[in-house]
Amino acid sequence: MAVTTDDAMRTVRGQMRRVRWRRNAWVVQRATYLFAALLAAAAALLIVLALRASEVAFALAVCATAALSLAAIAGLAVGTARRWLRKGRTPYWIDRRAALEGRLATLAELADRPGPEPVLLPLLVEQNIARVRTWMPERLLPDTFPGAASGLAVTAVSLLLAALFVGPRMDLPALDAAAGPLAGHLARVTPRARRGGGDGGEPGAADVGGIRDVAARLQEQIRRALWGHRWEAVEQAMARAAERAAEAGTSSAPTEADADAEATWRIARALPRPGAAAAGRGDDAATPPTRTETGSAASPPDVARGGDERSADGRPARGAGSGTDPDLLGVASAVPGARPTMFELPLAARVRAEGGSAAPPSGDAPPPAPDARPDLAATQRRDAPVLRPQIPVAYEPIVQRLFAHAEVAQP
Amino acid sequence: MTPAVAEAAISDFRETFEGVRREIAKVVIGHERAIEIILTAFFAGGHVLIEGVPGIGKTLIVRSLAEALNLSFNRIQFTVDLMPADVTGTRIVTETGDGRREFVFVPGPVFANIVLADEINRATPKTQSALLEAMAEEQVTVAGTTHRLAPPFFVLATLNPIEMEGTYQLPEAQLDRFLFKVRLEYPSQAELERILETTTAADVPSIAPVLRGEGAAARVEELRRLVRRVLVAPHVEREVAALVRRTVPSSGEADDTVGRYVTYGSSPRGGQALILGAKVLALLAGRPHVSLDDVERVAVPALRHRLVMSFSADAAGIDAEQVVEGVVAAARRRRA
Repeated sequence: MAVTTDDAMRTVRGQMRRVRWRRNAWVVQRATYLFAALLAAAAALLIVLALRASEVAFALAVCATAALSLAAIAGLAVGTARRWLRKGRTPYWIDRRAALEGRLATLAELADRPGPEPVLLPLLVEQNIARVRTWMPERLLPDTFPGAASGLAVTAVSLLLAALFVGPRMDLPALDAAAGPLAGHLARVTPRARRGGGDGGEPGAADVGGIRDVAARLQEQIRRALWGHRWEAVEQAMARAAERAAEAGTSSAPTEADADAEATWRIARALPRPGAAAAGRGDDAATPPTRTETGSAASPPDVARGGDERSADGRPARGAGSGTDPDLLGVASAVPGARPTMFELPLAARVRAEGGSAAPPSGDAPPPAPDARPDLAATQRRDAPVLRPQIPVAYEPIVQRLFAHAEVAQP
Repeated sequence: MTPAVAEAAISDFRETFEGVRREIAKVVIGHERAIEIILTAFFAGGHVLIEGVPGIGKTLIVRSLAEALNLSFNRIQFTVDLMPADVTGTRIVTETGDGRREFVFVPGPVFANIVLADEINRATPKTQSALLEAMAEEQVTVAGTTHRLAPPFFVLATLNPIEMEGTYQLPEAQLDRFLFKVRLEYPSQAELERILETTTAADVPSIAPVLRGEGAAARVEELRRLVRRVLVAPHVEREVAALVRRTVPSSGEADDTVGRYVTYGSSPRGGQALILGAKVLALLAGRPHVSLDDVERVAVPALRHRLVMSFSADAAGIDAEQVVEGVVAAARRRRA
């Protein structure tokens, strides 16, 4: 039975529509996977660089990654637009793909042409109907899933997850007071000092400085998010060192400030990493200090400082021994208001001993004193909130005087 | 026309075409591509300009074609003293039976189905024009009387690329009337050996007519009508039009090569030649429609004689064939 042109065109158009949908679904999936792969790869790269690279290198990497990502996204958009099968282009695409030698495209164009039917058109219709099976959607596009693109996406996301997993467990970068993270942080946390030194005042450097600041903030956020307390400790030390340097009026980083920052950095490096803390001491760096057997509280930095730090005159260095740390409360601020309005006062004495733990008991413990007010014992408050009360900054000199070590206060 | 009838007609066309090609191949050694182009032009209803050195089989091809198709054949050797009347025919005074004298038209050699105009560039432009008018109009006018040429009318003109002294180059407008231009290459070693063997033997192969009887001309006309009915999709027409325009430097669509080496591009007749030639090739492939591949296959013979090359092209050794191939390749890249 002869197939009419209308019947044939109905069949052909329906199949063309199915091919187009199948193809475009594939194109959308491919674009999505590639986009995800691109973002994940860029994020993984930035995370690794944020943790390992210097500030300048990271800024350069951010610029390069952003430029490459934009170019790749533009290329992806163009490629997707080119692969997208529009309705008018479908017959030509199928024709070429299924090697129909122009049969389908010719039929699609001539069937709708007004006027008398061309003499050879029925033969063309018959030839197309005979070849309909060769370009069925399932045959023409056997893959409904873009395997390569999805594989790429899975790989990139795996890299990102690996970076997120390994990042917090990585050591802090080596400290180089002149050009390393310390120098960058000193420059960043003391913007006034930097401007005063003429570092950022060069004409035309505003854009570069802006990009660098953005990159530095991003790097800091990544480090803070992944390293948490360890990085905050370093940052606080660096901020203090920078302020000391500014107060001393020296343009170069002062030795004392560097020493303080470096000491804090070393402490932070030795802080337990996430996961390792739970397995080792069962304590997180952000939790309150652990109580020792002698009843004193030992914060992780104290434990980590070790016993090898001694001053030149043979006296224990700051914080050494079982005495009160001279810098227990931090350095008093010369300019009230430049610091936060409240500071934390740890009341428990930090203990320092060989091997990073409390000194072994010697002799018999003295007998406990009789309880003068046994009636209060029943309603005794928990001491944890009292260990770290918040003190207004205005009281800092007074608190310093009251809690200062006798030897340090009156040499 | 039902699909079955159409398929039978296409099959008949292919058999005839292949039969003629087979018969010509009996006596013409090599030149397979040239013979295919000549046959394509014949069934497309156009004329062919053949360029080749003497003695490589131009006349043999044409005569073999006429014999295979069982059509009348005349050969005109163009010389500098050839007059238009020698081509078209003339009126002579004759005496009738009752003693009266009257002018009677005596047809010239152009009145044949297949005409070989040998070395057409040796005749004066006036004589050339007489033939070219016959080619375009398929009629000649002598003394105010128009005489139709019996279809099919097919002219094969030859050009000798050497011995250019004393010749009259065909004007571009007249070159444009040839559907294709074919270049006959010198035979290869193997082909030359076969030529020597077959042409010097006692038994010279003969050609058996593919179309028999008095109806050969009508059959050819029928096949030519079938060629005209081959379907051409608008996208193919668009592509052909774009191809032709890209050979025209002033069109704004030509590439750098065309702009540098071509002075004048193809006329619209070039596009017609592309479509007609492609229609024949489509039928040979058993298709009722033209594809872009068909167009590409006839692009060089259909366009190369329509481009007027610049002095820069001569200096750089670039010929029209290379330019056309470049344009076709660029079009193919754009489509991919």
